[in-house]
Amino acid sequence: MNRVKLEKIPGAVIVLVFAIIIFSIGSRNFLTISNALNIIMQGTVLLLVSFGMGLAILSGGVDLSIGAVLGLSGVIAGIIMRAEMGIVPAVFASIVVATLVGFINGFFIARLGVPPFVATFSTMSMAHGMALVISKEGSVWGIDQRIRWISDGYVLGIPVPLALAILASIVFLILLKYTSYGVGIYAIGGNEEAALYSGVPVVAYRTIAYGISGLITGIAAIVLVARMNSALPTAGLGYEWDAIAVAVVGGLIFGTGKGGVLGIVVGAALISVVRNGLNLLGVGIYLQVVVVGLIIVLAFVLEVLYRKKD
Amino acid sequence: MQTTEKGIAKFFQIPNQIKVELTRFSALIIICVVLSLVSPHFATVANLRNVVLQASLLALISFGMTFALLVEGIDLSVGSVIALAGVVSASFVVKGGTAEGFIAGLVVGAACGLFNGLLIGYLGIPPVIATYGMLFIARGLALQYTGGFAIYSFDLRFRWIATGTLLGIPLPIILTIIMAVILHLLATRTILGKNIYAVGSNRTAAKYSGIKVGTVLLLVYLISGTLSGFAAIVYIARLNAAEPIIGSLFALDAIAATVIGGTSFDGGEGGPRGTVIGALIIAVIRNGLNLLKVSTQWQMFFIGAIVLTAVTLDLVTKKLSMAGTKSQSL
Repeated sequence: MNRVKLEKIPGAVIVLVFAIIIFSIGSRNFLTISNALNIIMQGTVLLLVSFGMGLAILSGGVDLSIGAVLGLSGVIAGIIMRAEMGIVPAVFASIVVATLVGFINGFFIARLGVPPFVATFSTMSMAHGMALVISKEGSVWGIDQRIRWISDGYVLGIPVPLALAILASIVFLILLKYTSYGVGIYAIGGNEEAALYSGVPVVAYRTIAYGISGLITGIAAIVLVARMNSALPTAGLGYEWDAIAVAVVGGLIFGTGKGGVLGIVVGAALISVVRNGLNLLGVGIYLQVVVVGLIIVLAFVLEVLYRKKD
Repeated sequence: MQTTEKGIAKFFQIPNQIKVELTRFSALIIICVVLSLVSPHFATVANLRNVVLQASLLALISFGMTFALLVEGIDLSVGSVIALAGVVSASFVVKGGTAEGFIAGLVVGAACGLFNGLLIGYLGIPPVIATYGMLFIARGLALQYTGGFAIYSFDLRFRWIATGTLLGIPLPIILTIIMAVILHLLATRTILGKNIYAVGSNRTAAKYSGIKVGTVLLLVYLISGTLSGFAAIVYIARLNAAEPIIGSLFALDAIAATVIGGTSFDGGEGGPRGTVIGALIIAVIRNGLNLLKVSTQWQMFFIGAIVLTAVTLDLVTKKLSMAGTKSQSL
């Protein structure tokens, strides 16, 4: 089992290195500092929501509501800032709303036994509907400019998004590796019944997993608003898909309870680099979607072939 | 006294599926009665005809989902596949190739379904992932194919499939009824149908009794894709345009119609007949929300809430009825 893990991650790293080489040859603008910062800025939102998605997947489920919640939380934060009620209430409201949606997901999935994709697909449409209603279907402008520090600022000489990404990675590493909660989540994902009989509070842990997924999505929503300097109800759509891609490429396999923080970080880097590189090569947004879709399917096919070999 | 007892006993002998369908049908009647009391515009011939037409279109996109759920799967790609099949079909129709348009729509739908089926049936990729992937791939291809624009204005011959009437009944309604009958027979009277229910209720048992599970799954998604292709043709003919962006909510609607029609997420229970009732319920609710002037954004919210409620109720009643049988056996 350990062997699989060890061989899996270098696979994604190799693809990442290849992608960087190809894009560097293909575009003069790829291997520059400003583009690297660009990738980090875009990648941070993806990395954050991927941790949430990763937790949902590790617990044996999936969270399709991430993208819609990104939009909803962002719009709420945007409206509060537009009303000049301050940054702190905006950030707070964004996180609270997203966490609430997460716990609603968790309640329906863990407590009532609704299949995760049905529950989160339903809340996705509910959250998206709400976001459109609240924003009156347009983007929310006039947000507090100080919030832009989150995407443009520096802390200790490090760009804030990068600092956030590192911080989140450390928190999740500790959560997954060194807490009884992390051990429990892996146990649930590996074998729910066994976890239940060995005393893991399955319902509570699983509910919390979706709650955390919501919470981190609320934080990511703030980063997204700061980066775009506006809040768009549709801004987050598709992020859940990229997050699945990250998780799959990073070696988190559905229903096996395997994979970890390193895989997610490498996966997020790979997907962000591929997106950025395709942009620079002038590949249209529509084809990018197809490419990301194909990467996921390919990663899955490789994984399945790999498992068969074992 | 005895006759009523007999009657009650008989009622409980009615197969479970019909009981479920009867409950849903009564729910439909109740909603209709309430709506006709609330809005004077509901119970008019023109409105009801419109509702049934909407329901028939909804049923058409939900049949594929019904079969996917029967095998404990799901097909989230319905909407995108309809968009892709629609634009490809339209590109032939506008050049005057009506027959080619028909064939192209069906072939594109079938190809997408085949791709889903291969991934799910033979590579063991979870249906959520495979079809969610297809959702984006097909959408991306549809947008790329048309450059993001709509293809519109078809000749009347092609549009007849959606705008024509037969004996005063709109053609889509007749097509949906025919399709429902065919699929009902497929589900109940054929070996494939029996195998679908077997795979859905207990995959391991089905495998050990010699059913080729992978092939059954492949065929289910192939059917689902082909039905999407067919639905695409009816949709573009009706709209007189093929837009690469249509159908983003079709999957949710289809899940709603299927689940409300009594097809369970656990697989092996329900069928296309229930889905027709489910589609009628959703169409009536939609229509009611429209008549009450609820905006589409709120409708999106409501449909999501209705799906979640329906699935939860389904689970809760099942738990209760299981508790009931247990106490009975004791």
